[in-house]
Amino acid sequence: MDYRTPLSRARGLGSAHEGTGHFVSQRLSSWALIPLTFWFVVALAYLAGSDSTQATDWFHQPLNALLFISFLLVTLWHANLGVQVVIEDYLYCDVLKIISLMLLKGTMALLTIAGLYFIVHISFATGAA
Amino acid sequence: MAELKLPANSIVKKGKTVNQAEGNNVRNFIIYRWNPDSEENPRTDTYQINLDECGPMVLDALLKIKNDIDPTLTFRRSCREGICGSCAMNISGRNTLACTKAIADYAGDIQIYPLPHLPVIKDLVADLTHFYGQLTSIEPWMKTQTPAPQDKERLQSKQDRAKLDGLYECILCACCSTSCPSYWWNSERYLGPAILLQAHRWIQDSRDEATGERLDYLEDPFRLYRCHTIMNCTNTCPKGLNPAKAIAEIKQLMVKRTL
Repeated sequence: MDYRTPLSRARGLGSAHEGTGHFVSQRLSSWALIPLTFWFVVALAYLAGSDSTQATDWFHQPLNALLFISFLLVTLWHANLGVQVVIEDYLYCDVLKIISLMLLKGTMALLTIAGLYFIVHISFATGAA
Repeated sequence: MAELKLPANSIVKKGKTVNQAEGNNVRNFIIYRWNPDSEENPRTDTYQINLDECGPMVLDALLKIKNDIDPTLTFRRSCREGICGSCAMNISGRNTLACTKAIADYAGDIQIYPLPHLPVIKDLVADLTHFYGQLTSIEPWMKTQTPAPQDKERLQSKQDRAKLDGLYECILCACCSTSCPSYWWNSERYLGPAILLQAHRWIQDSRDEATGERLDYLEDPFRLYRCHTIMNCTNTCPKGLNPAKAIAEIKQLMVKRTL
């Protein structure tokens, strides 16, 4: 039996005084993804018919590499924010929620590091060969 | 995890057809019934009404059932003109007020359930205790430090008064909040569209001196930011208000005060 008053229950643990940063990041990253995704689709279409030499040459151009890095970072950041909301929406067990959020952040961090490594590797290592 | 299946004792079973009406204008009203004093699962009973002998609104049909057919049918009602919000319920899949919704607006059988995702007290009466607790938590009254001018009211320009239009008309029927999936899953912490619209009504009031405190109270990943702009609230509001817009404006103010 819960003898808390309705007001006590509604107030709960009080305001976390955050959420606005997450909200702004989600909007900004979604706006940034509009041109970046368009560019990515065009790039994919261009690369689809090319061999590996042409593809690595394409990565040697700094603008292409920078745009690809931007697309990767913004996509992963946006996905991180979005999946975080899904976890918060549907997981009620605090332990499960914290583990899921840690797994999410860890996965996104690994994907970011791996993605950056491969782009830099293609852009520089192959270019030096 | 969010519970996607009803508990076994909450599964709604098909009930009985309570009466047979005569006439050329008979409609079936399929109504959710649950009695906390019985051990039985909820059920849907069917009542037949000759619409030639009944008023035009869904509430008229419910009153006819209660008066003439089955006095045990339990529901809230008061003003019968869409100003008290008591008769909010789910009618053929949409939350609305039984008193302002015409029977003629529906084709075929009319299904009536209590407001979704709230504890049921009996039949069509849902438990709004937490909803009212949440309303109290946003302190829906004018908060000032400056004393009111002597022998005068607190003044407000016509432009500032106009900002309250679309907000002050809310009757707190809870149709919007109980149509919102985010409120279904997280009503313990998410305030829901009705309460956020009320909060915005006081945030927008030029005479109020606690705007920052009100925004502080709302700045929370759950209290405010569980709104994912699903828009069910605006679609279902029986008063034609736009809670989703009010929530969006609160979010804009949250951003504005960081710039």
